[in-house]
Amino acid sequence: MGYSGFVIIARSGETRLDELACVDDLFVSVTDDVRAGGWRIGFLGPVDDTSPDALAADLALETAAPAIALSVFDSDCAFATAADPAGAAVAFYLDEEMVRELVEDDDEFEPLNGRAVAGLLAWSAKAGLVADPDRLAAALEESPGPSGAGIEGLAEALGIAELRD
Amino acid sequence: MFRKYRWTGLLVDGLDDPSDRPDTGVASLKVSGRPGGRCRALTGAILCRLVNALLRHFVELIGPDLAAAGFVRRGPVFRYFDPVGNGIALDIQRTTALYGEVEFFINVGVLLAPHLRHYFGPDDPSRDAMPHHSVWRHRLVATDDTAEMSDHTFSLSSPADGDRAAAIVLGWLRENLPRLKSWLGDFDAMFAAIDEDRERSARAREEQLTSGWKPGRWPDGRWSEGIIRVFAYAERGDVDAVRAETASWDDSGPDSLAAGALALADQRRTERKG
Repeated sequence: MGYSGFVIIARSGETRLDELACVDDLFVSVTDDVRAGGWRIGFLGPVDDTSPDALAADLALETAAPAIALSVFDSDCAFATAADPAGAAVAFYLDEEMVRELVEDDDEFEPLNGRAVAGLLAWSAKAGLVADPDRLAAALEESPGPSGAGIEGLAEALGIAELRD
Repeated sequence: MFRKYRWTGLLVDGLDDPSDRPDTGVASLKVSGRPGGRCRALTGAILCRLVNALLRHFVELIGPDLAAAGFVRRGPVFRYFDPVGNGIALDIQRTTALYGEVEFFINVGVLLAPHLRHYFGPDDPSRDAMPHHSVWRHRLVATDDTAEMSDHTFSLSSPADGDRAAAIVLGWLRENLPRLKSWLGDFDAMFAAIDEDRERSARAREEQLTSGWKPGRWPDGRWSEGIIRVFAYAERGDVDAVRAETASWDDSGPDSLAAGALALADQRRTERKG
């Protein structure tokens, strides 16, 4: 069984993600992966107290920077939202085909990724990042993966680089 | 594979159908949102936030007493540290619950400063130490003395459940926290407590054999006696004793606990000579 739980991407600078009020409110232990430019990727584990929409909006407001929240299911796919402090939001999936398979009734499935790339490119620009459109489109088709490699790939496609010594 | 987890995994996102859930008194709440699954996800989020309020209520009940005792909360973990880095961690460990409920365990651990340095190196353990890093650990019993069968799962589906859970936790802390604090930085106190617990276990075993299960008569917690002994030797600078004690340990590599204890013993011996 893979990872099921929330993952967040936020620019909190030197502040650990678990020091953010909106994360503290969830009563979770967070593992931070520090990236360049004050960005952090945090693995929160299972959370049933919020949604990607709500958490991304809360993160963006608190950090005053664009943020992303993903709800990962069994490492196979993720329901995600990228939000910015002005209140704009882009909903997307990691591995939309897997989500379609999960939602048994196709009438209930809402395709998102077709229009998400443009929104995520705008999100990236608002964050002062330089995204790679082709890499981003490819990243959305990937699963999160058991170690979160798909999420790291998404972050890098959005212009969030690894921290170099 | 996915069907199997549909009601446990996707519940995380509130994508399940509220009409399939038991009536919890909050299931009638609706919010508008985008059509399809995302709308239903929003509905689930609102319902779940009410569930989270139960946990928050519980935390607010135990928080003041723990803060007064010197504990600092980070996420689900309350931690207390003495000036040299020995400490106590109390973790609220969430577990899968039925819809409309919050379920968790309360784990407590006594932390030994040099043992934490093995896990955290130069990093500050006061932000991340957990009960599983401890040399004494205990999972609180969630039932009171009137229960036929003891259970470790605290289950909240109403504020009254939170009140009851908080009363159990605060009662346990009132009874045990002074004892736990007395062990910090005092190896002799820990060894005396280990001996007491061993005697109590022997008595409990006899009672159990003669008169059936006696909940609550066994000592709380499990000791990592070998680790405590090794660090007691190390703090005294007794390199030979550390080497002898750790000789049978499986892991003796350069990053192992045994190597760390040996390095500490060597350091203390040098300091004493200096």
